[in-house]
Amino acid sequence: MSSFINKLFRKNNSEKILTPNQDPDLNHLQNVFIDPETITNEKVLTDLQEKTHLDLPQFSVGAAQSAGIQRDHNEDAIFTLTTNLVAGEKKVNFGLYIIADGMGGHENGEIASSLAVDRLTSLVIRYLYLPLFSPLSNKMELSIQEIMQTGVLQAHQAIKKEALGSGTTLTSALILGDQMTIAHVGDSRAYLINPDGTLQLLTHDHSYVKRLEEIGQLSPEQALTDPRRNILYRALGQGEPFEADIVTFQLQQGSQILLCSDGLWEVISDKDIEEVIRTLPDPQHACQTLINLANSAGGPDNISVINVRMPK
Amino acid sequence: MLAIIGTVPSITGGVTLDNKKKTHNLEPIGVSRKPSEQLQPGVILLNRYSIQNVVGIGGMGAVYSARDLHFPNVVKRVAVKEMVNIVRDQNLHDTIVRNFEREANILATLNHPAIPRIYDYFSQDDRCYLIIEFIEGKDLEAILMESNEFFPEAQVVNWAIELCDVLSYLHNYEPEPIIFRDIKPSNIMINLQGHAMLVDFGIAKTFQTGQKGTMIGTEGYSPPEQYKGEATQRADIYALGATLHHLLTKRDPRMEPPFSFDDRKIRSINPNITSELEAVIYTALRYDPNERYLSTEVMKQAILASAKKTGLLSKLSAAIKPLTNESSEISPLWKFECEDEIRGTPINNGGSIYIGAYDNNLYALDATSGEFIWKYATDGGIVSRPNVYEGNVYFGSEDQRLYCINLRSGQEIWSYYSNGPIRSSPYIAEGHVFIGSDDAYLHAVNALTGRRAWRADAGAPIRSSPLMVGDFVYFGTEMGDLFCIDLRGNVKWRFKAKRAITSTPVHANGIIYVSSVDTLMYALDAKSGYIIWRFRMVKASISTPFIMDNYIFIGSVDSHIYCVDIHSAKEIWNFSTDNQVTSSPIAYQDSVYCGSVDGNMYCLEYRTGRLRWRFQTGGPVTGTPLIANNTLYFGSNDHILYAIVL
Repeated sequence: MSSFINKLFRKNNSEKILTPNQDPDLNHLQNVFIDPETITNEKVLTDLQEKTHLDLPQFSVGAAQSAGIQRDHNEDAIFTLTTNLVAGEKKVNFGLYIIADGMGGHENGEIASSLAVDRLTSLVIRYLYLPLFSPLSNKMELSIQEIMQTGVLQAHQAIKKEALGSGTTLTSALILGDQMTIAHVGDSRAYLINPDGTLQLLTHDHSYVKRLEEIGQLSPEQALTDPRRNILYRALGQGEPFEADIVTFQLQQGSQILLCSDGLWEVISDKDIEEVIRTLPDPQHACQTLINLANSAGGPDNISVINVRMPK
Repeated sequence: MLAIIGTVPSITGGVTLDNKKKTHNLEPIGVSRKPSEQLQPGVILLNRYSIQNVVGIGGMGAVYSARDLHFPNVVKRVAVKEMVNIVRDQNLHDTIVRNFEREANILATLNHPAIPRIYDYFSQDDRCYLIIEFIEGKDLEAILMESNEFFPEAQVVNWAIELCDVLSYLHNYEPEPIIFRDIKPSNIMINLQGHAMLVDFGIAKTFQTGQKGTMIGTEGYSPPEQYKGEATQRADIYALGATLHHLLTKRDPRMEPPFSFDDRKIRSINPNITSELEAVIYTALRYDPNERYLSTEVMKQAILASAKKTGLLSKLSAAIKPLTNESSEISPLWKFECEDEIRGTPINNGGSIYIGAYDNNLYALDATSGEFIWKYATDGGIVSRPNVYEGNVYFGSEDQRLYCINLRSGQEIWSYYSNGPIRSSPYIAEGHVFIGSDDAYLHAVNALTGRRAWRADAGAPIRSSPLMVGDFVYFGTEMGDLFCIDLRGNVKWRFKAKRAITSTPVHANGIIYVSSVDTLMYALDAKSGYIIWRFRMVKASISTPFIMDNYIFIGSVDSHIYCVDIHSAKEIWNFSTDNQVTSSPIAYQDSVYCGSVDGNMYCLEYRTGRLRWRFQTGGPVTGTPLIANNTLYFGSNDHILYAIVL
């Protein structure tokens, strides 16, 4: 109660005109400016770090890729962009992560996956990222989900135009503040790793075999080995109309995200992925290790992995 | 059997779907040129066919309309179907050409009113051309996109019968049956006489093989067995069923997972369709080909039989609106009549119900018996929802005041003057009452003393009720702003909708949900105000969203109650009432309750939106219902507060 009253009456109150950013509150910064001389023991240091961390949420990101053992070239595309800005009242905490797994016709697979990354990225940067830093902020007209949907559809059109006959999966995570929006088409995957270390699949494979499994025509065991498991019913670049699956989730402190192509999840079990993530504190190291594991399991396909860790 | 018309069998048919190791053997296959280069208008093929424009584009080429110059004195239009052979591997290249030729040859021998005639066939460079009868009309996909209404059942039945006829012709073709393989709305033209014709402007390809071995089949209309490269008459029957399903429900199967028609029952989307026709379509859509109709003749007989049974054949409309439970079967536990309209929302506290009315009174009633306990008269109507805090009840009135009344005695503790009618409802936290007023201020008032802590100028009347989450207060204004302010009245962020936000914001998972008169419901990041998603309704909404599980429920002036997935903003269902829904829904156990200006209180199954019952009152129901002790309480503009045991 008292803290509330304090907040309510800290300023000489009475009337406020609601115009933004009038009154930057710098009180919280006082905690950080501690004279180094006074830091005499580890506890103070830890306190300081914790406070610093609380005020500046910092993602740590790892990304790795391999053509695999059995393929001579790589049709996966991968993209990461992480921004942490804290400047007075202004806090921007932004991340965009994309994996695209191309397929079809000679080099067209890699054209498709790279087009997908290009188009989605350029749209997100133009309509979402740049406005974050423009003086006319909060002028965002479209919703985050609409921007992602439009980006995916533009990528789809570009592939149809420039790499006809090819296709690509696209799994992307956009983080703004503590909300994460996933746009997804195909059979690449996004996992959430909860703060307790458990793995949770956030995406839904658009594969024929997965669908057969869902409607009870195949058991999960059969689905893993069914020769038709490479057939997608939804992919970028194909003629039929579609929509990307787009969902938004709130991220908890200490949770993580893992994006990967089927080159990883088809050969490495969820349990092994969990284990690697749990035991390796560095996301780059974790990604590299996952790639190595997939390659030692035969590396039948291109492998791409992105691991993003939220601050604890 | 041949799999013909509009597909390229060598690519779609016998290719092994397995996979990665094989891909190296396919190395020589590649794309030699970009087939997206289309013929320009004015190009003349064979000195005869003058290209006019593109009418369709597919994976292997395009379809053009062209003028036949052999008829110089009249405009004779033909359709030119082009196939660009992009395959570099010589064997495969030749196979594709052979198959195209075979298609041409077979088409040339067909003679049926629902199949366009073929005039010519030739190849030029790496492109092959078919010259076909030009059908004046529109394809069903375009017709589907243009219409906002459902098609009448009789019209769909007519088309279905014609399509069964033409498929029967193809399936019984000698020497070999012809499987169309690609029935879908875009391959069906409705000509100027209204008849259905089979065409292929899509130049379909069901599967794409590639370097990696991953393949794509995006056909929402294709049967399961087609993924294995099998195509029989029963495949066409399935695709016809899928097409009819799309026509009747207007739900595009390409947007849905394959084989999910069972999840979108026709009559749950379009209740006007007879159960007989629905049953026929679901027989055509059986997963196992052997459980479908044996032939299109049998299917046609089934359609005719259903139409006879339902009287559709004689054009009698059989649209009966099913109602599970009429209002007459529900009798309220009690009713309490005031002297004027009840537009607002009741609350329950300690076995009593508190409700304001436009007879200017706040009433306290016994929750179980409906007996009058006390009333407190203000000088204006009360739409504000009361709120209880430490033994007192707080509410606003049209008389511009915020009241604090003792719960037991009904005596006034204090009242606080704003400078405009108060339609907003109080939010009380830690000793302070937050409330909006038509005087354009959000007021923060000490709950004990009735003294103002501060007021914040929002620039427009505030009818939305404030919501507090953590250290921030959220509310909408009649100018369309949604403010996030801190506890000292400073703006953290401000979001602007195009029209008023009368709806009250709600919060879940770090997101603020609110609707606007601009027809949208918004999901806004609570910390920054960024728009996460927008959900579009047909008309304005002043209803307050209600969240349960992953669903969000909202009413709209367009007369619907909507259920939307909270993560994806996808509509799960909508329910149509007979007038505006300005009331706000609530969900309890597995039902949604919501009032409508049509005078009803509706109870809907919350996962499907199916009507469980409705209860008719004598006037619009605009307030939000309350559920307490398994009893539903709500007021109506007929002056009555109703209590219904659930």
